[in-house]
Amino acid sequence: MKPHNEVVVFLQSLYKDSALLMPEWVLCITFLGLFVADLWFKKQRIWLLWSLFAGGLVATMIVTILQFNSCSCQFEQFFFAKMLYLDTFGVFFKLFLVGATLLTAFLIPLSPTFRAKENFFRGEYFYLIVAVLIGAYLVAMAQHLLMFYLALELISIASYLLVGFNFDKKSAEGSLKYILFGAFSSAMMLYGMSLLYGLTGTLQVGEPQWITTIFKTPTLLHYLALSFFAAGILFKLAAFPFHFWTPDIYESAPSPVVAFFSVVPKAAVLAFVFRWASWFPSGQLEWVYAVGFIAVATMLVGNLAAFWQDNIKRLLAYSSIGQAGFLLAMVLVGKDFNLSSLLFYLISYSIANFLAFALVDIFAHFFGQQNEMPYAIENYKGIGTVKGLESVAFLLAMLSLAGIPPLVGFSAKLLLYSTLWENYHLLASQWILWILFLSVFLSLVALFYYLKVPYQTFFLPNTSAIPLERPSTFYDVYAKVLVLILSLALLVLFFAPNIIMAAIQQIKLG
Amino acid sequence: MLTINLSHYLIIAAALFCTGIFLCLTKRNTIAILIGIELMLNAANLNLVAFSQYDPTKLQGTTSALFVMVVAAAETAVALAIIINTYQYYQTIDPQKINSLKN
Amino acid sequence: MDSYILSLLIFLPLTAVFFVILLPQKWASSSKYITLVTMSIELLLSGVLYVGFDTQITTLQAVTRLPWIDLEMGSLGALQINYYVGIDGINIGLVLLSGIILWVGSVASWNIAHHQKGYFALYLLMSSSVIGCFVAFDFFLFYLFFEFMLLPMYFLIGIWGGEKSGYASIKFLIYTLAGSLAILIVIIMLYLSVVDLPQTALRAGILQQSNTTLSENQKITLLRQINTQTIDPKHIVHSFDIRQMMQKENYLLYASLHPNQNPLIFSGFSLREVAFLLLLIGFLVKLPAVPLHTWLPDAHVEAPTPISVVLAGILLKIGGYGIIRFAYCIFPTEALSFGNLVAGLGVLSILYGAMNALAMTDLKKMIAYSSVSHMGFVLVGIASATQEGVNGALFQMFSHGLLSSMLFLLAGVIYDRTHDRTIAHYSGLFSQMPYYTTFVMIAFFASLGLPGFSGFIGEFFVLLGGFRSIHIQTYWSVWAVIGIVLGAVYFLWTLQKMFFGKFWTKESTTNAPLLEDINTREWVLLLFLSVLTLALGIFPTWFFSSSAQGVIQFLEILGTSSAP
Repeated sequence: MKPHNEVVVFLQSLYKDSALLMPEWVLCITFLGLFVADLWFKKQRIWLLWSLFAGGLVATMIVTILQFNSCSCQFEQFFFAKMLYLDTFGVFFKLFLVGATLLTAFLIPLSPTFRAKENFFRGEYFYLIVAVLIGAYLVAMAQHLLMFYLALELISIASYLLVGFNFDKKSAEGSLKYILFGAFSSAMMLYGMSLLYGLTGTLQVGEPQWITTIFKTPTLLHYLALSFFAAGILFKLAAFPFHFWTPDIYESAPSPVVAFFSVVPKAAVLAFVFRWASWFPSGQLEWVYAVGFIAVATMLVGNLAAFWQDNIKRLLAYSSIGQAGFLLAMVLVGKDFNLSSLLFYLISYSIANFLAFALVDIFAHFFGQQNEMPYAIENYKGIGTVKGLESVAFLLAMLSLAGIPPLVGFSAKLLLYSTLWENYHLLASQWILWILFLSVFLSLVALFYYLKVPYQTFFLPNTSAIPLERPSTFYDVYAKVLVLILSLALLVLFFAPNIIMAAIQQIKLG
Repeated sequence: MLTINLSHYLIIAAALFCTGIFLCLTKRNTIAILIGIELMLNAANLNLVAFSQYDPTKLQGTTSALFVMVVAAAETAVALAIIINTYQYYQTIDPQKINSLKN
Repeated sequence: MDSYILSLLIFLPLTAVFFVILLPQKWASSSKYITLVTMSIELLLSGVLYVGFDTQITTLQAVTRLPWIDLEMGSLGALQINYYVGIDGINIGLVLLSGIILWVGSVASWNIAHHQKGYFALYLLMSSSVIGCFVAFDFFLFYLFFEFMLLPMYFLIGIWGGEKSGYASIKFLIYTLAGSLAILIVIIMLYLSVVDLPQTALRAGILQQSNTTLSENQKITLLRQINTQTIDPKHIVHSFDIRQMMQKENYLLYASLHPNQNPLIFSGFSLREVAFLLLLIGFLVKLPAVPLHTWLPDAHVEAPTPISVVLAGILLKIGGYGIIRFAYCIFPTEALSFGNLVAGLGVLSILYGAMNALAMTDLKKMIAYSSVSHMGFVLVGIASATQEGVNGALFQMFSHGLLSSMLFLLAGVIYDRTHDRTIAHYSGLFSQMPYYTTFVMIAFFASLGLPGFSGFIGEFFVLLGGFRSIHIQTYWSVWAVIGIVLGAVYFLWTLQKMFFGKFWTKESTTNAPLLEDINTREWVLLLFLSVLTLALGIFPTWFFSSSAQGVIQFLEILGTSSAP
């Protein structure tokens, strides 16, 4: 009788906890709705599917906002048998994730595949993105290694498929490479996880017992297990030494998907990593050394390799590697201002990045379908006189990524440097000061390649035949509006950063 | 009399893991690489189950192993689909010959 | 004085930018009228400002201080950025100079033929940020203008420049950006060390009303509370206000930039010294001083004439101004201890610039190196830390602003006609272009320091200060005198080679009928600048009366006001 009762109590608690999963339920319903609609409707379905997709995301966003509000005044708690942990920190990340996905949704109509094959477009595209988002949501809340692994695999498996959605030779190759690298690194992570389980006796991260064993008395085996475990995380972050896949995958996958990958999985994993940083007892520098080393290496690799690229998508891939390095530099210490800077940086980076990828697609369409290499940088020669608004917007996106005022990227860089300086003060480790100097130096180097495209658009005369001006279609207007809104966001958020910061300040670090 | 204790499991798991990595790094056939990845996952599973003995709740490791198997199956299914798709374009599954993306 | 004039000076060009951008394409050519009108108003406003400037008081004038960004950062405290502008004796002359040179530049831009809308929009953007740079008293605001100036300049040089302008403009951008990133690091170090006491009191609930000031006692208690961390760190307001950065009492006791204690040593220097050197490097790039000058000749050679004028006329002055206002005022002790370094770099620039100018075959490059040489005097003057020296440095900046613009205008005149600036390709131009030659002679003689022109006064006062200073070695001033002699050599040599003797030009580069004398537009600009330089040379007190109080205050901050 007694075991039976325990099961009942357990099931009841699960039932009760499921109310806390409202945003995830909405996402699941969206997923299923899209699945059914994809089977059901045969004609004119592309926009219908798109609306369902965007509508589902908006609904999720609303529910997440409600959750954030209730969270900030009420509770922080474990639920689902301590698998997940709900706090303002996690919910804010979720809010960011759904916002980024919504931006992806607005990018999708611009992609050449969407425009060209309007009627043959596959609905899987949409619901795989939703699947990734569900995974990212769970990663942001995960407090249990199994949960983390499952959620990460959910992201991964859907991502492997999404890379192939250009349905061409390159795309197939990209998804093959992605799944091989990805499965390999996640297997390494799982092995590391199993070792951690053996060392600590629990998969529940963040428990006092777990923290003590991991951080207080590390042995060689601990370091080995942690390095294996880090493989999967670094793979998702596209950080050194697991960054090799990035340029190939970015080059072959559809641009909206790439923009999505460069933000959503990274942010989710960063949330998880930041929790680790906040548990780390201050005064011990192993974490600072390890994360600092990876951050520095990632910055160097990304920023130095980007300069040699002549394909805009590969350039942006290396740029995103470099930016991942900057993001990691803010995880050195788990202070609340590190978190504020991290979130601000993430938001600023994603807006600029989404703008860049939107423009990459707009230009690719402009250069024409028959163009063999729509992403080659030399296509951009002298385009500034033909497509003025888009070229200026591209300039703004690049400058924001490089961190030049008066764009929000500069505020983000300012916060990054301030945080590093303050961390240096806190830990009195010159290593952090060197990271600060290096990151300042690299943001100068970054300007070289960020100005590569604006250099082509504005300084060089147009040599290739520019396609004739076509009558402006719905897509052109849509593209212009989207570009305008995102560019304005870059400017406005510089002058009024409080719009974001006020929300970030409501986060309480558990 | 030989008793089988934790270290035996761990050694076998480590051996499996190393074999898996070796396969992944050396084989020039995508299917073989997949097999390598499966071996790595199985090594992790073996670890999980072995360690589960020492877990006061005794459940986390074992259940995790079950989940991992399911995920591995899903991953393999997707991987095979992608491999077939790639084969249609390239007529080969040697990853070294599939290199139209510049590096 | 009415405080809105400064804001008007900054925002008028910005508003004009929108008008220029919104012009329909068929009226694109009228954008130059918009620019000219705007710049004329700017000139007028800066004149009004100069006339209305009270030369007797030391406090800031025409002040506007409005809260702008107030960013809460949890336990880091809040960072508060103000829109804080004002004028004092040090920047009033430079604001007037900006008014003059930007106007000259806008008239000189009359012949810009292609992409007029883009050109004038960028020109207006740059004008706004140049003036903003000179009047900002909030370090963040200054930095914003300082960086924002680079991009319009980058495009103005790159798009409307000569053949290798892409290379020149990226070089310009990278050099100046490297400099400004060095400044950015210091800004971050500084603002996190400095507390805005009244705002902190307000936030911590010690003061209720925003307009009340803290009594001395309250200040001391508050400081003790902050330093013992009895006040919640999130109530601490960090300030970008440079006037607060100058006062020792505003520094957090545990901050590594606190003037009295230097717990943190970095590579053999205290962090305050590191910060001073970083600021110095940042501004030396802009000045430019040898060995950070190599962007300047390239940028000048490739830039279109009006941009060269503005670049040499005002942008370089931001370097000198920044050293006085930021590097020296915030780190006075460190600055004096590095006096010989600064003076040495100045002398190096003077001599190296002059020698290079001697060797140049391109007229514009020669002028560019003469700029490097002349700006070296500014460094010597500042490093001397005497009343004569600093006044001389300020005067030298003003005078060089006028003279270098004139020189570049003159170089532009000949380039417009023949598209060739090689000195050796001309001879005896006097017989063909007598008026042009007259203006060239005025500009050259004024630049080489002939008494009666403004160039003489600046260099003379700098040397006076240099010889009297106890902070720098006397031999620096001796070497600087040699630099003046070299300056006379290259100017006179060029004058003799190009303008005197029998008329001759290299046939492949030019044909004689094109060599018309200067037109009305050029007449107006050149006459205007000649009269100004002559007037300043004869009545230097016009300038010194406005700068005197500012310099006295500057020397008080340095603690050298009583020195002989």
